[in-house]
Amino acid sequence: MGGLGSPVATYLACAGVGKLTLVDFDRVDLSNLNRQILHWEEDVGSHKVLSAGRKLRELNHETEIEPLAVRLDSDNADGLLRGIDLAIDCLDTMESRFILNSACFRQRIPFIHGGVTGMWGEVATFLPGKTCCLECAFNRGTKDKGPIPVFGPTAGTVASLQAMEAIKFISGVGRLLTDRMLYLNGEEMEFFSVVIHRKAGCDICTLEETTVPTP
Amino acid sequence: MKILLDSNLMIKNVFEPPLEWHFEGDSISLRTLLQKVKERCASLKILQDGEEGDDVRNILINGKDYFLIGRLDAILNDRDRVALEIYLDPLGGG
Repeated sequence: MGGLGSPVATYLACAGVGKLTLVDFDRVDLSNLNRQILHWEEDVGSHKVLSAGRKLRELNHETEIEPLAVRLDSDNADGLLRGIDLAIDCLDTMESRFILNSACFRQRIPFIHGGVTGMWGEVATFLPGKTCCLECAFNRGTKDKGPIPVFGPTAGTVASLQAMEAIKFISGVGRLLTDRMLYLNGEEMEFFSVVIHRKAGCDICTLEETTVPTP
Repeated sequence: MKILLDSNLMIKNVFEPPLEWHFEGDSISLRTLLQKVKERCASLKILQDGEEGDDVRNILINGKDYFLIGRLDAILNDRDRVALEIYLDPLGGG
């Protein structure tokens, strides 16, 4: 529930999405407040999912909020995604994004990727079984490069685009941002997109569908 | 001679495969082709210091892995098809 998750959840709650499952192990830090708009000064030190959940319930009491203060990893990803209709990648490491990508493709759960660095942002929608996946665009071996500077409005813009994709997916309106990566260059105020084709022999795109049993 | 270049990735107005590249003579090396591609799309790290760049995932020549047929010294002949698979550089923050 960081710079992307805060605006995404805000828009989805305001739009009347029935249930939002928030996953984030982290606590609010003062340095988060330039972009993580669901957290305020009074929330510093609180679990982000609890801080965000309080605000979202006030925005729309009819939206059910499930706050999970856990770190997504390869052991719990399938369980966290059980019963989810749509995943929104507001993560901040590539390692966790690749875990989410694999789990979503295994369970055939569409997901909307977002990423930001400075004044640059990227958005893409992946539909398992129909489109390319995250690993068709990015090298699985990509290492995270430590703390990443994020300009608050960049995260807000990318998150708004992710929320737009989510509402389009839910409502069936418009054409989704599939097989493309949309880039925002905030330094030059330009958008452009890169077409991505499925990687030949991609072992994620070709994953067999797995049903995760209910415990 | 002409070489057809294809890719998993297309950037509008910058890099829009499939592309036909025309060269004088009967053959060129893969390195020469990639040098031409690099000149056209400087933002992609396709060839760096004479070797394949970080953005290159794989190169197929007529469907065969270029590693098996001479890597960057592989010889391309008229009407060969080169498929360039490219990675994007992710924006990691969230």
